[in-house]
Amino acid sequence: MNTLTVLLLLLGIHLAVSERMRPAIRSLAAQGFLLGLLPLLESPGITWRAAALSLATMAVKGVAIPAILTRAVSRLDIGQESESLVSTKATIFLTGALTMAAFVVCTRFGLSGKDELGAAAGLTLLFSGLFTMTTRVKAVSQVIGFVVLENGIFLFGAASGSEFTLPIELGIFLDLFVAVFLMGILMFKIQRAFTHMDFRKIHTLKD
Amino acid sequence: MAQLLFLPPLAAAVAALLARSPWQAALGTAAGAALLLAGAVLQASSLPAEAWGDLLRLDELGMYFLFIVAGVHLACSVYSYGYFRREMEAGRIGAAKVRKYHIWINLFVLSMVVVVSSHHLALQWVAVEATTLFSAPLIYLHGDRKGMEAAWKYLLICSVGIAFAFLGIIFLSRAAGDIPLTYTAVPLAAGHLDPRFLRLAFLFFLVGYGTKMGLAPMHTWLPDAHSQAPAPASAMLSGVLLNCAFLSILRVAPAIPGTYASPLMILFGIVSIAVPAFLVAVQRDIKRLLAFSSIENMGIVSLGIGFGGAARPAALLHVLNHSVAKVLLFLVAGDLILRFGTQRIRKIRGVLRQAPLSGFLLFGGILAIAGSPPFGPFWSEFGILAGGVAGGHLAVALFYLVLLAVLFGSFLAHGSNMAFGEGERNTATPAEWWCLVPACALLFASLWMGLHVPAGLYKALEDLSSMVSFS
Repeated sequence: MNTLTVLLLLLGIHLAVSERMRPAIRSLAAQGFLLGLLPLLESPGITWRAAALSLATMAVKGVAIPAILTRAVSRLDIGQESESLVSTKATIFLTGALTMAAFVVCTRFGLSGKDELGAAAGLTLLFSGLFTMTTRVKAVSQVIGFVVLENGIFLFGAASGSEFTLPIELGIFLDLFVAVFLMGILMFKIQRAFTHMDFRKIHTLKD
Repeated sequence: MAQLLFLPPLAAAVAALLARSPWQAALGTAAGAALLLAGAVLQASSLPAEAWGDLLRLDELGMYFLFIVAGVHLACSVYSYGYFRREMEAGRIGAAKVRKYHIWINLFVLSMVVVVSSHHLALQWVAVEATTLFSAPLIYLHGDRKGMEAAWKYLLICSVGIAFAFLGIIFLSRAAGDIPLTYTAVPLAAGHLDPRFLRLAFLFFLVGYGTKMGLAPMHTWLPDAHSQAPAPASAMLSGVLLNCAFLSILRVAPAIPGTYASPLMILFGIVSIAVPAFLVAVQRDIKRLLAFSSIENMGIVSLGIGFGGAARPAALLHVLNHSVAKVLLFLVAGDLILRFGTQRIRKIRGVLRQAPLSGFLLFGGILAIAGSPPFGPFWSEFGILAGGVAGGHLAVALFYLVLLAVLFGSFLAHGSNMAFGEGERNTATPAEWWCLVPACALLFASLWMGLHVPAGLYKALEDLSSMVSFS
């Protein structure tokens, strides 16, 4: 359990500081698969509920969302660099600070329930996801930040022992999937509108 | 039988999908809206209606919000027929996009019906997130760059906001333990729950759903989204979606100690009134003007809930009054934008002379939303003021009054410039009755609510306000 949490945390830190898109998306997919193991590890035996949740997590966070993002990176002409408003050194330093802050908040305010490390790691992912969303320039990176934030909340919820009936849990996954799907569609549409506008500009200049 | 109410919007969405022309789709939407309203009337006599275990429960409070959703949806669906016909004639939109509008608007209404009839707070969360997802395609319906950027901002900011609300749900479930997370069970047990987690839960509910509700300083997406959507969709976003987010905050209120929650509601409320008070006067786009007014009115509503006491039923009444006046204004704005071919306030001049009925509706709507008698919002705003003074919040109430006066002046200036000002003549467009009749009905409703607040309604709201009071 703790090994899993540490791996999730390390992947999160890699996601926060990586300068290129593809490695970041691969880390995101790995994080999705690891999160998918959580329901299986938490339930006493392998139950239908745990299996369904695990499958849904892996399908949405491990496969579907990374696929959408990979498609966006390769089809959209945006390059590999995930440009940031702050330098890489500053990002590394701030990510470390945010991790510390998350652990301090968790222990100081006694937020962590049965799984202290999990709660703190979840909060770290939440903070670093928000950080990514605010400092990264490109749309794909912002979506990655959003998914990291969601992963953090998922981990934090699992560590606090909050669980709902299966339809609600599946509804939550469906919402996340549709949100990222729509963001993907919008990225393509915005790109197309940009080129369309440029095309028109050239056209009017010729007249 | 609350789940039966999901059928009309669902059927109308399917009808729009199968429709052969945009007019058939519009007919389906209007029929769905009428059926939803009729269903709500039938259901109103047997409340609360529970279904699907502890997932659904439509009580009186949910029914009040459902009536607003259904009524506004009916007005907007009649309007949208005329509006899109004019847009198609002007070549601004194609038939495929009109069909898309009808599909998404019905799914959007469906998700709001789920919000108001949810019993389980996590189901409510799923439904609120679904409202974001179903309404985002409405914002970029026209497919221009501004619309897409607005939709992008809307999706991203609201999704993060809603994610924070989910953190609130996690804290609430930490506090509640084995108690089901329903809006009836949690308040009943609140006395035995860890107050620390209850307070955290409320804070995250308020910030999270507050983002969706348009409370400042989380409101930054709202003016973009509401100004880019086509007029009937803007009306739905402003007139009913914000209410649904507000209801989601109210649902946990009875479990939270008032000493903690009231100051927070007052703070967010007064900031949300103050920000528009500075920005309304300088707005250049008619729909952005209305969007800022929505932020202000959501602020007024949360201020009223924060004041408590007699301000609480007034706040609930203001939800209705704001919806009626704001939907009216968005519908008239859509008409003016088509007529003048621009959203810029400076270019919309002399409406009363060029299109007397539209001008009359515009000026009436501006008076109503500015809080002038004899329209409905005057009474609810006054009730909140009186409740605040009676509750001992003298300084805040005074500040609220000053801000309202500033806003009144700004709205009146914009309104009279547009209605009476001198400007170039537009090309004469004939009046479109499908657009004007719903707006007339709404103006009449706002006037009626101002001249004579129905005694039965006020009594019902006083009963409801005990359901939304902090513990």
